[in-house]
Amino acid sequence: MKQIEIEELIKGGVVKLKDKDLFSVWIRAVCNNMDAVKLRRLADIADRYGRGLILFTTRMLPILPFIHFDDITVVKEALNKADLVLDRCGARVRNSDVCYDANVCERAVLDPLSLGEKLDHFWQTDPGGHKIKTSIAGCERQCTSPRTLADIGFVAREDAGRKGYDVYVGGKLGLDPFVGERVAELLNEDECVTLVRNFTEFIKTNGRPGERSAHLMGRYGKKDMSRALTKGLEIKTAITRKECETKQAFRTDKTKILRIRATNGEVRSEQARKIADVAEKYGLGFVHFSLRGSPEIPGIQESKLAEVMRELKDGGLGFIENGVDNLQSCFGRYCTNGILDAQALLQKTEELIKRLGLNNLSIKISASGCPNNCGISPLSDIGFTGVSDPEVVANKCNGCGICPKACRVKAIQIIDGIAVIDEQKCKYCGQCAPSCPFDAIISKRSGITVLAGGTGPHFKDDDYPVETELAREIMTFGDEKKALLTAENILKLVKAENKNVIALIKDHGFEKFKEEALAGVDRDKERREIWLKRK
Amino acid sequence: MVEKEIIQELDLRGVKCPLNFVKVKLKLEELQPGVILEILLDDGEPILNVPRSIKEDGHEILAAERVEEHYRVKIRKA
Repeated sequence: MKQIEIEELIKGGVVKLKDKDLFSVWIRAVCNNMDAVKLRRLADIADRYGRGLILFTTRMLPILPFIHFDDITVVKEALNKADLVLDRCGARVRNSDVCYDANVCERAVLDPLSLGEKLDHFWQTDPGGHKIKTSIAGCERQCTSPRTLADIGFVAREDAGRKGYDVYVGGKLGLDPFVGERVAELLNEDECVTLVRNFTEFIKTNGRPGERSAHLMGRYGKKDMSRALTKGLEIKTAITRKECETKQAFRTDKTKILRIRATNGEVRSEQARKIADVAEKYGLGFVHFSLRGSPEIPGIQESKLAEVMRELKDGGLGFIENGVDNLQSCFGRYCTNGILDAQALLQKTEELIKRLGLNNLSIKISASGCPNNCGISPLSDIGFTGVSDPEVVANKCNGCGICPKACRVKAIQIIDGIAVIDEQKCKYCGQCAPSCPFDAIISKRSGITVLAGGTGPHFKDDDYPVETELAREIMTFGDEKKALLTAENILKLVKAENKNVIALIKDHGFEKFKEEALAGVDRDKERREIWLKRK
Repeated sequence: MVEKEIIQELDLRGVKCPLNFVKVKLKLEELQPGVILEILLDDGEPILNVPRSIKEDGHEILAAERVEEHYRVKIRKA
């Protein structure tokens, strides 16, 4: 690998995986769409250099896993030949996430693609240094969840005949999740662009190294931050606009968006080719990367729906039908941070759902390998998260001071030359253990946290008039059996009362819901209580 | 007789992630098993990521000590 190629490489999205010398390669998908021709080429590259697998991720872009260190340069060249480029990861301006063109989705109030094309300017001109995510939703259902998944989130809304974007700042998941706060209302596209420019300047001037918008707002306060971001919005910002190739010039009437099931966001290369074929034959010639990892084919004529579904079924593909939305995970077992085999747990959950049979509520279930929650567990009806409880091995620790830097919640201090973990502050992310060069931190126990009642919100204008809510903890450090039993209890309630989880929690009250969810889960506790009663 | 340890050095101050790790990796590939490589890493991201990735590749970290604004890390090639 030549020096220049390495230099080039670090600009893009290449992330190390758990197995030695294996990396994942992030592919840029402008407007979160990809045309059929490119998708086929991607499938070919996955076959040749990966393991024939494409991951449809919560970042709404495709990732090729299992690319060997020695192949990264050739993969990059192969991608470039297919007119594809690497995306970005780390502390950089990220690809702006959008839902659908107003010409494709009947619910769209405004045209998120048009704003997305403008915000792409910041991706192109980013000097790096801060992770800045932007996300746009075309209506209040917020399928892209901009309030929690973006530093600056835009939600299109109509009020008394006036259309515009409400702007939310500070959204993030991770160890300290935050629901973005509204800083402006009903802005037009140009005002949105200027607001993003104001933000990038504000964080560049005032932000600490690597700081996210939520922390920055915590330090400056919502009022001061809002004032800084909304200053001079009437002044138009000069930008270079990236034209989105998949944008539709005309409205596609009487068409459906076909959502394909891809548990854990995993799509095999032959499935990807089939999806590409169907998108060309029946759709608009492109696929959309949705938040929950379901490959979506927009523009299918209603009259052709049965035919298309038959064709896809013959190609070994299923659909998002009644009951549950796509079961989505992060990299889970492939990730260097993974504590939990998120994929295996969701496969077992899928079996459970088949056994139970659910009503048409599009229940969201996801799993994350660690509390970074890249699998968006806190935004799901039921979310699983892997957790690990660290312990210092005193005779191995030499007080080198690396683990306090690795801990993102400042739970570790060096006291008298030895690392001490504050159990009150620890979020069980497990990152301190691998950071130690001398194996002086071990995991004394690991397990699964079960969260419930998160919503993105997705249902605002339907039967559940709720705002964005983060899921709450039902159980922690349970094993797989306990986690699945908790999920089963919750899903039985969902089925019996025909309500999604946030509605159940609101009706029953959280404590009662939790008790119902844990019925039969904590046998030890029950036995203890019976024993105490007898006494 | 004490066998003399072969020590190689690599200064990675000012080199960002993940390029610093890639450089260590390429350097280690040139060396014989058992040889010790001493690297200088910046504080912050580099000291958090590089030793971890080296360890994941199976090499042993013998020492990590802070020297002024950076870290001196000793690696034994596996």
